[in-house]
Amino acid sequence: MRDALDQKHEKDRERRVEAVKRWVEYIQSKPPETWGPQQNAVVNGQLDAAQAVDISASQRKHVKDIANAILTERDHSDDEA
Amino acid sequence: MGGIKLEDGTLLVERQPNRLDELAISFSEILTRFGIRHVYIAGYVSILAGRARSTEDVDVLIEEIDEKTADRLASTLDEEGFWGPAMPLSSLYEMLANGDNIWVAPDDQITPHLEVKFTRDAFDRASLDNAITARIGGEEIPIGPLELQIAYKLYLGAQKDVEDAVHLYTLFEESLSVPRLEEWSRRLDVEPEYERLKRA
Repeated sequence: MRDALDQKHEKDRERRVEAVKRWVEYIQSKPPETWGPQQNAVVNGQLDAAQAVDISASQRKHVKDIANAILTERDHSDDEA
Repeated sequence: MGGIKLEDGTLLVERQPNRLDELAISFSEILTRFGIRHVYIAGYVSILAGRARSTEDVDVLIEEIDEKTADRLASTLDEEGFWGPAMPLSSLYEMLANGDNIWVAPDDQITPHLEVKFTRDAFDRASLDNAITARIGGEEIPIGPLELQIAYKLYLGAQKDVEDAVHLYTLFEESLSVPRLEEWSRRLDVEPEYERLKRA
């Protein structure tokens, strides 16, 4: 079960890396007037969405701290394995 | 075509600045006024270089400053419309001196914010000492050397970090210093990941 899930995630990861490379090809082949507004729409759009959610700074910091703690713990487990 | 170039150690970005760039530029202008050496690192550098994603925090390393300078910086930030969303700006020195970071954002804004840190280890100091200039919208800001950014992203290893590394490496492959990439990969113990990146 875990192997099948890992395989699926590996394929997802590969697809996402391919998407990153396609975007690089795109911005290398088009003028900044074409890709710049698209990139800025993503950047500013995600910020608009984040700002629309009423979450306090302490809550946001808490989320980040917990995520960092989980990742650190996982890294230590990997090292010990 | 393109509009992003690494030329003679300067990153030239020809698109219009977005809100992250505007935040980085305005904060950089204040730090420069105080003569405080600083460098933008991490996800923001990838986004500045065209990565199609956003971030809630713009990471900036600054050299260690004394309490008096920190207090003057905090006052100036306050006067120029910034605040500390997580901790008041008056605690700027205490936070940084304790090894914590402090959030700085335009008044009444939480996201995006700057996450300001003192340089803490050899990698932070290398980013500061080897910073390159990025030029966008007629303004200049210092950013971490791309070879170290790439290796560090491989070291962090989360999906978005690896994607950032792929983006920077694919975009600047021809202009990057291979010896420096190899050196940082060795020091961060990510040589297998770097080998894989080269094959990607």
